[in-house]
Amino acid sequence: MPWGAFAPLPIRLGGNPEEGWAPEQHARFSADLVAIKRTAPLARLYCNQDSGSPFAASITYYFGQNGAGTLYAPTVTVGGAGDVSVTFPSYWTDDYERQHPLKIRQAIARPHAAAGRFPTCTITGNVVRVRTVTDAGVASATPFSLRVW
Amino acid sequence: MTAIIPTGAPAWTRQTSHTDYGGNVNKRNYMGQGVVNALTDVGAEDFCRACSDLAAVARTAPMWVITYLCSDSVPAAPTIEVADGMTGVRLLSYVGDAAPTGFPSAARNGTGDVTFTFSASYSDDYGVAGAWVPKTADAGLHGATGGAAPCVISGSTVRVRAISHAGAAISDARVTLEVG
Repeated sequence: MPWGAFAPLPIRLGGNPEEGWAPEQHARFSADLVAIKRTAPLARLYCNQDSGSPFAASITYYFGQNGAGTLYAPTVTVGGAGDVSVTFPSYWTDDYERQHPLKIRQAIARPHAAAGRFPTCTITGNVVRVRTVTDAGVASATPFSLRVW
Repeated sequence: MTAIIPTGAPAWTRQTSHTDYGGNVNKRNYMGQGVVNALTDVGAEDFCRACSDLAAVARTAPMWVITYLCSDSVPAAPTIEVADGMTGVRLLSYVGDAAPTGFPSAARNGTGDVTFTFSASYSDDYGVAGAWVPKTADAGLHGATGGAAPCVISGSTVRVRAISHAGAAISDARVTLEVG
């Protein structure tokens, strides 16, 4: 029987460390994979803001469970200086092109600036609104990093 | 049949390596035969990559991600709205002083000022215990009042203060806290 590679599928646990997969290792693999999935961010991104007129914003870097690169990034809209809404789709598509419902529940934004800037998030549906102010409380177009779960 | 006891320690101990997951630098394909059919065969190369990558993400994955709402207008323990932990996910809110088994408790110290208390040890899905104490924490504010939420780690507790850009405590703040 022309078995190829590491093992035939379905994989039979056992064997030696160099050719097999011990059930204890499989159990650790499974338990840790699930543990990590429970807390892994859905996405992290870097959003640049242009303080010119009109105000503009764009996602420069995007790393998501759905893919890495701006091709996979959510859309952004600008409500004014330091006011950006990031809209995620209602579902995301995995590497096997299976669609999963998407619900944003948690978010943390961090500013990128030479002076003190203070962003906050507001989650409404799958829209994460990020507003940033200066230490004087004045709205400020400030690039930010955003993580969402 | 004897229950399986996983190798190594749970992910949050940050001690697992690719070998705990089945990786081996001398891993080889059965009888030296590489993948014949990519739809049915698992190559040793594929498998080693999976083990190494899993070990990598286990080292940086958060232990807890929690969003909570302070109760300052009516002084009380905060409400934990969402708690994603490596040991379980809870989407049903709970009050910090009545934490469900396995989830962190939280106490109110003052306006916008909350202390979370975590267990010193958690068990994985197979019942294997692993010690854990928070070592990193990062919190971000929600809402319209710009500010910050600095964290202080002390033993198994993380204290978070919601402070406005002007330096004033924020009442009834909503905060997301990530702890590693």
